Amino acid sequence: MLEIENLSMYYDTAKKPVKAIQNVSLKLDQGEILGLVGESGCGKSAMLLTIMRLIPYPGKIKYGQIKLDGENILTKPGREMRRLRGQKISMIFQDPMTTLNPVFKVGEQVRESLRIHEMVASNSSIPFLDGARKRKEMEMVLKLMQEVGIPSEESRYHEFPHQYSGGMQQRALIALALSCRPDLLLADEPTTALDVTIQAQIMALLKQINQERGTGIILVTHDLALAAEFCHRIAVMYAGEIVEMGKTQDVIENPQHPYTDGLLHSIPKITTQKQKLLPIMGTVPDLADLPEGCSFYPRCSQAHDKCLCAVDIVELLEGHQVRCAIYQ
Amino acid sequence: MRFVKILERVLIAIPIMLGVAIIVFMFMRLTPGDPVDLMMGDSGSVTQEEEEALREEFNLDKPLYVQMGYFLSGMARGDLGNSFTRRQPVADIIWQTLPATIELALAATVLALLIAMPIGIISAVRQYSVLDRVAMGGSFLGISMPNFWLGIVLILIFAVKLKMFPVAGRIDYGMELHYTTGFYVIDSILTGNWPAFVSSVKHLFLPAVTLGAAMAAIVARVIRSSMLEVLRQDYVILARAKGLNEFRVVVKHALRNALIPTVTVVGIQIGVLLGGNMIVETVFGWPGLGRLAVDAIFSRDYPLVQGVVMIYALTYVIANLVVDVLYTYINPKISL
Repeated sequence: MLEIENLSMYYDTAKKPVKAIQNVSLKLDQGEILGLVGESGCGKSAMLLTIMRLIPYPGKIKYGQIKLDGENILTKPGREMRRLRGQKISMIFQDPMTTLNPVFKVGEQVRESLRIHEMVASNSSIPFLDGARKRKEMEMVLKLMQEVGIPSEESRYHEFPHQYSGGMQQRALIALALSCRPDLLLADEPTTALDVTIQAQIMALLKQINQERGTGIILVTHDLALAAEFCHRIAVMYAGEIVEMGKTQDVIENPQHPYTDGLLHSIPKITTQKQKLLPIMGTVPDLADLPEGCSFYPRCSQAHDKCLCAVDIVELLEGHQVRCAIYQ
Repeated sequence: MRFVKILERVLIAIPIMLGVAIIVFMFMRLTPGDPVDLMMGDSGSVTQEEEEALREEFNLDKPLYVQMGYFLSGMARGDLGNSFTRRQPVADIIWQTLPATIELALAATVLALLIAMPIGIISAVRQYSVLDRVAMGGSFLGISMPNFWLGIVLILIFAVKLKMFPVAGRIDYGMELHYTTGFYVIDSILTGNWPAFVSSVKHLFLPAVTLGAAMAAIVARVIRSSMLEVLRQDYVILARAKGLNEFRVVVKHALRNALIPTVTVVGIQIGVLLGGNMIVETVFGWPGLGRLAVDAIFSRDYPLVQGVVMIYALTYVIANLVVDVLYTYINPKISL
């Protein structure tokens, strides 16, 4: 359904371009959940904004294509792109507390989505005064709120965001994102700002949506354990590149890239034995000043001379791709 | 519930007004200069008896606390006393001049907002563009120019040289207008008197520009800075992600939030407007409250000054109350 080919997005700053996304290719099938994991600043959130074509200035897409159902959305004019946003591709954000507009009623914010994408057709000659249409939209909103698990939705509809708890706000945002039955849901760390029990509820809700509606989901997270539990496939990003991608089981149980391996070792495990955590030394490189060859080379435990040359992503096993000089 | 809270706020205004009354009374008496002396002028042909008769008439021969007692008890009954110089009830004089001042202040506010809102919004959306730089430079000028100077310059250019607008006054001489509200623009519309309408609007324009310039400059800056703040918020990205076009993103989702700080500033500016109107009304010979206050101060017309200042204070209190009530409508997080 979604096909990204050789996508590169740079922020054109005054000095050097910041290479936020470099040469990323990936595919997402109908009803699939892809996890995009990596450290802060590795370009995973920028990836989602690029798919929405909402990259903030001075970000620019340099190369590549993003195809949705075979159509390249990067060449679409603004009007058509706006029709896709919120209708075919929806997004859920990291911090629900700041994502809902504080001055509008929550229900109305959900209804606005239905209105702009004309989910309910109007029979009246003056569409914006059509009371029947509004009532129908309100019913749809209430149904959505019920589906995402917002209790007493009738009164909640008329409340403002600050009257909601964080978990409820995220549910409202999910209702908003689902309002036009999108094919693709982009979730940008949807549970980072929430506590653990709420996190489990929200993830269960997303899973349920995926199964019931067949909505494809790209889940951006820095939590590898969460991605392992939830996603069909995982793509590990480092410094704007995908370094390893494959089925969740393959990536987690049989990591091929030293970076993925390092990430897995830095997660604490509950075992009887005390175990020392192995952090990855060093920090993420400056995206405006990347090293030659492999970006991970300066921090890699298995670095050697070949790492200094450009490294391509190669397919090792079926559907398991790695970008590392060891396998060149 | 809201009504009870508003009533509470109105009642709180009473001690404020009392405080203002006492302060104004004291400061007027502390100001050097004697009203009777000023009335008698330099002629020197006034006898001691005549002067004393006047002092007695104005109660100026009584001790201060007795005078203040008269003033406060009169005010409690809604009687602001009689003007020394005009020999008329102060309330009547104020009532006659009030429409002129309100008309000018409203025109200035409307003009200021009409100019400031779009400029502030566009400057924020197109930050660092040519328009932004020109607008912010212009607003800097607007804030820095003293309004008496701006008034004189506008008169010189548009009234004296270009003859596009009249120099002073509210309406041309000999213009027949049936007064009902005292707002000349409204009166002329109500009676369908188009020549009078044109004349009164022309008279209103330059003083309104002069009075509104500083307000427009400040409001444009406040809107710009709060829009810049708001446009960075997550909910603006959400609005775009919903598929809204940029116009609705800016005007519906961003502006509603940016108005919250703006309303506060506009509320404060109404106080500034009242101060400014003394100067502007004097420069343009506008027969309003401001010029009345200036005249009354120069002639040490104590009751008239007190009355005018009380009206000023009352306006300020009301403006603040209106802002507070408005606030609860724009910002759902705040209740009275």
